[in-house]
Amino acid sequence: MLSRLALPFLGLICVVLQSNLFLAHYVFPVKPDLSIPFVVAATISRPPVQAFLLALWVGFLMDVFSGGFLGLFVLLRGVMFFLVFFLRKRFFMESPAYACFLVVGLFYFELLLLSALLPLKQHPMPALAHSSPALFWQAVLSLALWYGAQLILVRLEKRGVPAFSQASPWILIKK
Amino acid sequence: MSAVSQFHKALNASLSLPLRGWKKYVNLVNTQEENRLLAEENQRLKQENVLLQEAAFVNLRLRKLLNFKDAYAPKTIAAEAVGVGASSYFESICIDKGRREGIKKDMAVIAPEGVVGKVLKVGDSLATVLLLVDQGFALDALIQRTRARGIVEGLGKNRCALKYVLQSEDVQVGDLVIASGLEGFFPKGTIIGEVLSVEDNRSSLFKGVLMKPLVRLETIEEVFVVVK
Repeated sequence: MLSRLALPFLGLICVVLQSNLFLAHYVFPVKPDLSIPFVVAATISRPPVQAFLLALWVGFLMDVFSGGFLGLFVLLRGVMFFLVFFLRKRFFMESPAYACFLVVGLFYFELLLLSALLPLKQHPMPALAHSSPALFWQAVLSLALWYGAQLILVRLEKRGVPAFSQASPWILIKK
Repeated sequence: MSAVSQFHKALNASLSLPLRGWKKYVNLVNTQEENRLLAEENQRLKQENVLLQEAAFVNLRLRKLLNFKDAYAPKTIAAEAVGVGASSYFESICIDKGRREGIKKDMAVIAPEGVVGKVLKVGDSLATVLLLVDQGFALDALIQRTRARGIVEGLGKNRCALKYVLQSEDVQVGDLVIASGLEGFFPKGTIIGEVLSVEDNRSSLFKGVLMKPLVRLETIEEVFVVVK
């Protein structure tokens, strides 16, 4: 039971960490988004239904802990799941380099989707030109944190911590 | 959400302890010089205070003479910021007060320096506040000096625009922008920010006014929710 809850719990930890006040003010130079590497890792390494549910779960958490309207990030993470799932079938995505490239690309993909969706709610579009450099560093920081967390969790897994024994989206770092 | 609020509080407390200790040590450097300057400043402010008190007494007396109503004093609930928005596309913070404490959607959130934002979502003991600089935020406002009217809209990156200010109005850099109180949540006269630049585009009906909030939203820790 605990091992089944490990991945949803990890998603919650990711969203809570990126929304922590102290870390946002004093530690992170830009706001990371760990939910995107989370969706990529889950889609690459877990069965499709479980990965889809995890993507929706982390999207729901993003909706709850952000100032957007409910349902926006559920939709975005769901779309991301389908995109990564589609790419997984066509390319070998388990290499860390491909995965990094994909995660950075997904940050820009999210910006494009938001640019299309936000005007429907009379919310101005985020400017692509203004957001691009910040997005790149956001993606880099998110990946760095994601890999850092994986290093810790892989060690925990090796020591037989049961909660993470089946949490194998760590395939990104094992390869 | 309540559990997450507690978790945020514990994490903030444990992480900020060593940093605050270090800051306190660093702050000791140049303390003597700072102390002297502060003593001078204190003396000057005391004198100013006496003059202002005198002005306040005159104001009160004149108001009584004119049968004016008492100044509107909003009822507020103090809250602590425990988190920031999870997404970088929306400027928001989470506060540790919610439905249980009487917080409702759309209530005004202010700080001693001015407007912070408005309540967007409410949980039992946690609420999300949409910040003034978010692109979805809008508030009816006045230029304090000339009473020129406009709508403050967030631009992101700690900047706002004061829109729909007529070309004929007098707006200058450094003017204070205050809430008009028309939308019913923000107390009239609450400071929103100051004008950074004014663009007089002759082909447009309105001036382009850029402003910045007076509240340091990027490091805000305590806020007040206006409940009445």
